[in-house]
Amino acid sequence: MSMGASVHGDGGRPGLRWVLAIVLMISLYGVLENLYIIPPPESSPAWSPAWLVTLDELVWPIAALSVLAGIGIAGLARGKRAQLWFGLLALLAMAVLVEAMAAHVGEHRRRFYSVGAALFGWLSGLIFARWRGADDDRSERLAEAGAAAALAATYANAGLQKLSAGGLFDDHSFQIYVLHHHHIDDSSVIGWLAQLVVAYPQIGVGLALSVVVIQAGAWVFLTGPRGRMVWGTLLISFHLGTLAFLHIIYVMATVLLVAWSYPWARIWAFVRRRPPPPPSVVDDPPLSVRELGVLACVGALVVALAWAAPTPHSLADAETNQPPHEVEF
Amino acid sequence: MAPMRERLGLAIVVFACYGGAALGVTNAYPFSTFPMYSEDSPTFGARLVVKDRGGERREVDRYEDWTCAADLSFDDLEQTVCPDGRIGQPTGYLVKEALDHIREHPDDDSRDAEESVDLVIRTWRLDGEQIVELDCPVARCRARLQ
Repeated sequence: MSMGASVHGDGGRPGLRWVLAIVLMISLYGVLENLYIIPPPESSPAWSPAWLVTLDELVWPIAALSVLAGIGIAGLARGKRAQLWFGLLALLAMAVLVEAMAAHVGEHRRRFYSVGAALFGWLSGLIFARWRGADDDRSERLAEAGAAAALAATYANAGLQKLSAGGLFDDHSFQIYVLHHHHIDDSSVIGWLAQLVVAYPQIGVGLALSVVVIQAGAWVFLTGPRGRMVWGTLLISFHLGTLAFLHIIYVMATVLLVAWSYPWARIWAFVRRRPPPPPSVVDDPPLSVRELGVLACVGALVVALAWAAPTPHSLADAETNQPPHEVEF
Repeated sequence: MAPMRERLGLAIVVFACYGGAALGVTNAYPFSTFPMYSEDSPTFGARLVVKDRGGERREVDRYEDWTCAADLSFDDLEQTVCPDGRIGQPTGYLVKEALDHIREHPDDDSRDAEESVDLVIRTWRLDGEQIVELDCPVARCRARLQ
């Protein structure tokens, strides 16, 4: 069986599905860790719907959802045609678990959403493949393309949010973020770089601009093998820069980017001094105008449902960066 | 015009669909607008740190064997009053991490190798074009530098 299911050609997917499944498993562990191992905050904002907040007090629903998510992830990892149903099971179970965790800790933990986005894209590709009557290999190429698109969209969203608010571009924004996120006693080279940002706010403005260009330009990730490698590298650099300056890293999203961005089969063959895998047979048929129209309508329907459906949310915004207020005596 | 290939067509629709759906729900798994660091320009930042007798500031996790004169609660820390009468308001999850470290590393031996340190909220406030730095005292503690 061919291992090829990648924009990088045959053999370009040394188990992208397995990487997705492993990262999903890590996210499942992360949810349970947040629910039961890490102490919750002493005060949490009110949350809607309220039943999500109390879900963690009932062990059996969390245990049942975790088992269902685990079965779904395992079925997805196994592949074959049933992976669509197992993947949908994993997506639904993880959705309830992640939102219950958010209600429990009092804030949305976005690092979990990147993985969910990739799964959503993967499943969208599989559903599309069923509609097109694609065989297994072509189905996984479409799943890979869907996952890449949804992953890229998470960065485009982040970039557009920053672009529309504009606050990050102010002279001192990045400087203040670095000051209170960076370790105060860091005497390493990275600490020295952080001090440079603090001393020269223009560097911070330049970094903020580059972050927004990289994030908002994430659509380049979808333009083909070279675009995937170049923009994937930039997105990984963004994560490493965030780690260096702000001590924040989205490990799961970074792992997905590393897996999705490079022609690993060719790299692996080069490392092992084996001949590179043969170029892939083009199996990417065109869409008729009608098919494209149907696809766009289904996408619009999902968007309309998302706008209409009641969704979990916090009633108090715990993440606004309000200025400190004067004490009233 | 050449017809669009199915992979590109799918990618464009999934990309737009995820973005549009996320705008609708803001945050509901698997959709999010990822609005971190997109709010209005920050005018202050604050971080819970240790200040030793020599005035050197270090991260809380550089110390262990903690004992503090007062109980440290998250709410009290968030409401710490600074010398200028304002509230320190450090970043919540960073305070939580620091408090968790202190609670997980209590002084449970009798070696008495700890030193007296001040737990302070270091604040940086934008005042015009200047960033003003200030230490807001939280508690006097004893801890051992690792």
